[in-house]
Amino acid sequence: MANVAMIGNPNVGKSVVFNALTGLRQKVANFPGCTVEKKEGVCELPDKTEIQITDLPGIYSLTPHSIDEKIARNYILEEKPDLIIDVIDASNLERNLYLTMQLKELGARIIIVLNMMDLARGKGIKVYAEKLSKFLGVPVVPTVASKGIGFDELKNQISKVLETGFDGEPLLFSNATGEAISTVAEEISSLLGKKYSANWLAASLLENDEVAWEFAKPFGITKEKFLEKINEQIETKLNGDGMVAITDARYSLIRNFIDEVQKTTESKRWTLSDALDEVFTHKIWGIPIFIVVLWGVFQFTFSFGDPFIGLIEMIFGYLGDLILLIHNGAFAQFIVGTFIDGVGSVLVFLPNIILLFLAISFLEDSGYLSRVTFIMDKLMTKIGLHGQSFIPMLMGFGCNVPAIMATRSIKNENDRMTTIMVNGFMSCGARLPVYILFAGAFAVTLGSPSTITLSLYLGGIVIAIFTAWTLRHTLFRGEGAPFIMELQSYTVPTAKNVSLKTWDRSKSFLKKASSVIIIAVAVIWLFDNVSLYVESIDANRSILQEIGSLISYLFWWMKTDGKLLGWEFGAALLFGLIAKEVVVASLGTSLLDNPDLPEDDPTLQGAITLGMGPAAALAFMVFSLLYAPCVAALGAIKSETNSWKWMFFNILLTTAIAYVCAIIVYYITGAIVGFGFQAGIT
Amino acid sequence: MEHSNKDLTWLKITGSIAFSLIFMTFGVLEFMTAFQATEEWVLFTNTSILGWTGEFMTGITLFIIGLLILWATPLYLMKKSQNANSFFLIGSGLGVIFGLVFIFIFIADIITVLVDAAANATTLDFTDFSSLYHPITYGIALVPIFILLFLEFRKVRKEALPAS
Repeated sequence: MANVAMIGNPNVGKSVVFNALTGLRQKVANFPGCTVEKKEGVCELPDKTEIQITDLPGIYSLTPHSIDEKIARNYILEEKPDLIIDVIDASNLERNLYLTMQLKELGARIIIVLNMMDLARGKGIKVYAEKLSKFLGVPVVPTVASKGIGFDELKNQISKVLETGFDGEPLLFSNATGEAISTVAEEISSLLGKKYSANWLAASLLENDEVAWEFAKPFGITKEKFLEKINEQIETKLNGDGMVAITDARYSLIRNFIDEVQKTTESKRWTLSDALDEVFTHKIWGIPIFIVVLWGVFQFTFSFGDPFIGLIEMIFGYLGDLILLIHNGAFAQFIVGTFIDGVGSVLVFLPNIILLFLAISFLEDSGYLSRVTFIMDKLMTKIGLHGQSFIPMLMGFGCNVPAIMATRSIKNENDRMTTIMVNGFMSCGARLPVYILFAGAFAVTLGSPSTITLSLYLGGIVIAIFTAWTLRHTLFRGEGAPFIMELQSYTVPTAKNVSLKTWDRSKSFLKKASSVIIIAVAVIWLFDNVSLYVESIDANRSILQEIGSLISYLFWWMKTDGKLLGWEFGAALLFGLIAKEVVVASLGTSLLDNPDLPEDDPTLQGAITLGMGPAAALAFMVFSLLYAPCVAALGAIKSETNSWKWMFFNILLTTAIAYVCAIIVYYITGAIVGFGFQAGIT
Repeated sequence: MEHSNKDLTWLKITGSIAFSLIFMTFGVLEFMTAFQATEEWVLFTNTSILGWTGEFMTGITLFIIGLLILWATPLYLMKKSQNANSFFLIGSGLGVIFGLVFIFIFIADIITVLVDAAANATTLDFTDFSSLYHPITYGIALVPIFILLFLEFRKVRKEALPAS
């Protein structure tokens, strides 16, 4: 099967092209030696042959400054794909072609996908694909990926290029830069053989690319032997700065033909994109609109998901009854306690989680989320944090693990460390079941579940920003780096792409439910049914009760009508460290076997209202939002900071902040709604 | 041509004021439900027709959308029609989307009633319908305005195309 790599700048619709070509035939792994995600998929061509496509990280150049750029270049050099699909944004041709120039230097076999042709038209830009193809000497296929336009032609071109082995014209620089590259290339070509392009290596060495020196070393091309000759070329032909001269030469090549391949008509009137940016990035309106959008997302998530929760609850209820009816022994009770009460308590929230991910994917694909980053950038800069920090923080709404990994794109180390430390405050999808459960149970007193959840999400952002400011002025002091942000073009999200993204994210929730959560709940059930005291008056006290009581004592102030927080809640918080969904699963296992549950409401929400009042519930939700992240996120912190010290510091920092915030919220809420049980509960 | 543009601007100003008043009025009324504990909130009681209980954050959202639409009026008067059109377009767009969210809520309520009826083997009981779903009405009313403004921007896109 032919191996095809897909490359392109960020926000050029690369994922949409990848999804359109591969559909559901995708798998996700990591690039060797690192945790950067590698997406692979299989595509069937018109002649029925299959190709494997690897989606490389979105990058602006192959000069390896960031880990993504290193990975992309190493993949092309080492794996030597049979073909590279270079996706470029037709509305931003000049900048996108820079990467194309570098691919040609590498001697790669490429097809250019000229995507977003509709956006280019909207901006008054007409791009002539045939002329571009002629100038670059490679096939160019115009597409509108979001509308599925151009893919038949793309598949035909892939077939054709793979069949004929058409390599196109090699890239040659002219003038002094070309001379310098040729001189160095001649010197090294005899040693290099055919493994790498001599022109590419020569250009890279002239750019003072340290990674290129590592590639050259096995061939005997070392600094000791060649640095002097290279420096001589830089001094005599490249005005003393190889990188600037070669970058300029690449852009000069592009400028030689860019006016021929695109024509721009300036329009004095605004496009739809201008109109949207005028409002979404407005200095006064940007944040209120973000709050309205976020609230709309929660209202949709909660209200539309609600009946499906009822439906799944009903199915699990029937299943539990059926199992106990068939065989009411210890094993059946274990199954009901673990799978029905425990895992079932988490799975009932699957509709909400799917709806939340659906809404987030929609906002992401539409281009709105990049505007949120833009409006938050000003605020982040004011608190001394890198504007780019908000991107991983936004990603934290999905899952904190990839969000922590995404901090690699932040070049300033102090900014990166600060962003890692506060990322756990961004409410991940796994915490949603906790909010739905508690907010739903106390809606009568505390108000709409959507409003409570919105407040928690916004509260998380505020605490993250406040903590970041404190860390940036104490532990991680130093100058910030300038941040240039490119706004993603607005597009109408396609149903296919949004559903694929939603499925991808929901799948990880299901995977967790069928692995980590099942094991955790089985352990919790065993702890709940085994006592440490075999023959004493405490024989009824289970191990879980003992552990839970210890944690609950730490919350001695969180009383409801003078009653201490139940041990079930303490145990849930402890086991929530495994995965945040386990908070709900643990409560399901320990509370649903309570014989005092009211017959008219034997649900977990009903059980919770028997255990605590609204003030304690809100404080519990705040603590769940802010306290130490799950084991997977802690692992990501450890690997990203390469230090146990910072991982433990993060546990202490987040738990201390969570504890203080929970106390404040408890007393304020109690002062408003009282410290008793919800009305109707005795 | 100039005359018709002028007429259209005054029509847009009128629309902007009218819709912002509707959104802001109902937004405030709904917002006030957060403080319904005392009997003094007679105004709220009067609005609670057809069992509408109102919701704090819905009120804030309606108010923000109303204010966003109203923001267009001074911009039209200052002859910044492109900026004004942008605010009117996004305000009406958010109003329409918000109405759509309430359509989903309405559908969800119907499914809940159906599930309840199936689970308890009873007949359909619609007493659970506590909302008036009024944002749906405003959303529907805004659809023509939204389409008009949207088409105006789409027209610009086509005009902007160069001759091939």
